[in-house]
Amino acid sequence: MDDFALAAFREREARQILKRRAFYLHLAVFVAVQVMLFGIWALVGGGYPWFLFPLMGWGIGLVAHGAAAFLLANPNDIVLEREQRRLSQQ
Amino acid sequence: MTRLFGRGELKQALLHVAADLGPTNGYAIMHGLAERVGGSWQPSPGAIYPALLALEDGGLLVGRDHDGTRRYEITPAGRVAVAAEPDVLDEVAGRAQRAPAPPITLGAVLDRLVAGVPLRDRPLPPAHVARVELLFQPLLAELRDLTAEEAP
Repeated sequence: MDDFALAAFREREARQILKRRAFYLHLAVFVAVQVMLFGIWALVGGGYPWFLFPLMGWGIGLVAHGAAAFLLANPNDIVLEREQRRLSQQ
Repeated sequence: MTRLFGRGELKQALLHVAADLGPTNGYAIMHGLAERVGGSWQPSPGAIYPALLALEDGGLLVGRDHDGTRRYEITPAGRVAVAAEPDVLDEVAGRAQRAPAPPITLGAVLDRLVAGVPLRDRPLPPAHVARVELLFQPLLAELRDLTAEEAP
């Protein structure tokens, strides 16, 4: 495979890895905060499940971030992914 | 920050470079473009390679594999496209020259100077620590005055 193409594919892969790592960090913070909120709720005797509101609100943002990290790509990355697949099948 | 290349300008600029260089590989085209655009713009294969593929798909460039390297050559249709927009490289280069240079921090300047100090990682005898600090006192005072002048 051409060196220049290989460099372009590596660049796309590096971008993808960074995007996914950022999402996993977001997920870890989300889980930690939700566990903490649930713990506070349980410690003060339960009752009305108020911890569900931040869970659902932030959850929407987390799902959007996940979609951006795993499903969406910029046009150049889509072209590069298609070309990499085509070349590897040759 | 404004975009350096307008819609379709990157491909046009690459065609101009390919026309100037003759049959050559992607790296040569990328470096040729960086040289002609100038300024602080730094292209990368991840941005240039998809544009070269699009030019190939459009029949404006033809790519041929040669000793494991893909060489690109402008086609007659590509030359027509270059002739249709002869000023695109000048326009982009003008924009690159007018674009503000990235700010250089005081820390970056100090890092650059300190990186050149010989034996900087060698442990310093205690007696020399005070001596070095004394050497830097007037310099630090001057730097404080300089940054105070620049503060709004």
